[in-house]
Amino acid sequence: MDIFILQIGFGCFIVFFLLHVLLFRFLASEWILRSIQILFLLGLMINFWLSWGLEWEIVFLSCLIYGLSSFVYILCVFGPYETSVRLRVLSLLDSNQGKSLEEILDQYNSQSILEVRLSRLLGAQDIVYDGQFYYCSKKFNAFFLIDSIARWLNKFIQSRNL
Amino acid sequence: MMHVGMAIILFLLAAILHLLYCRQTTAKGLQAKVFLVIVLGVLMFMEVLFIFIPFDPWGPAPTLRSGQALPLTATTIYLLLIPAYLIFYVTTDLLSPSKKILKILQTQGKADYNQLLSAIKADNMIEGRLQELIVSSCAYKRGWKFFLTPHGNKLLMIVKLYRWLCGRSMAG
Repeated sequence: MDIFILQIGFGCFIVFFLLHVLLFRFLASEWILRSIQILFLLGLMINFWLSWGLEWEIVFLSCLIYGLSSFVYILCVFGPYETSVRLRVLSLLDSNQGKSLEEILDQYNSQSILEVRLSRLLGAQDIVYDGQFYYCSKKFNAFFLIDSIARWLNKFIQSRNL
Repeated sequence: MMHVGMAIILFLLAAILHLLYCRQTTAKGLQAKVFLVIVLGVLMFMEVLFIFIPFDPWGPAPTLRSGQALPLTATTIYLLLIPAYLIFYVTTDLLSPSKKILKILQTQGKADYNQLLSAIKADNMIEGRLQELIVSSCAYKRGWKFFLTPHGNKLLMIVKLYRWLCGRSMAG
């Protein structure tokens, strides 16, 4: 039974990962966040389908394993690769001659950082654009959820020295 | 389910111990290494406890008797909770450009492109990240040029491997 739960949970994660790797190369920036949400829900549906008719503990635990492994993959591997400024700067330094700050800023700067993010946020419908101004379209989204938890943790450990 | 309950309770205990340590310590930094020591210590304690609860990983399927032992599932959930916690914990110290844009739009109600651009520019992100790469021994500065260290090159190899797998260049 133990192995069975792990097989369903990780099996669905592997399906999610393979579909993501296959589709990722064809997607424009604005479709990235939306495609992750859709693929995650697809994996969840497969999880429910495989454990359909079994006891609720099996369904719950396999979904928990699938959800946690997808969460860790998205935020530890895919997220940094796609969005990390630090990793992008690191990849720009891939030269034996080194790079000056000006050379780096020619290829990657505040404008490119902003444009790719606006495109992603517009694609995920987290923000809207009326031709002149950008607005938040949702009062609550994944960013705010993670931020709320982080703020709560920060409040708890406010005495630490960073 | 008892194993899973134990794993979640012990993980929460490890996280609370880490947070309490962070409140008390005068040392600088995120104390992620201390968390790893605590969480691995608790994991060893949990595995010792599991030895005393008999289980059969292969059966019976596909039904679950109430109270059946699930130590492998419990250990997997415990291990997956470690990076999940670290993600939230590291976020307490980070402000990503996307989060910054959303915060501005949430507090001001609306903003145009130039307002958002000046907010991003004010953070001096590229310079700041270059400095962080130097502090974390991934890069060094010689004259006015930046170079990768062997550690930075190893990290870049992993990035290149993922790029090859995904067939897509980094957006940043």
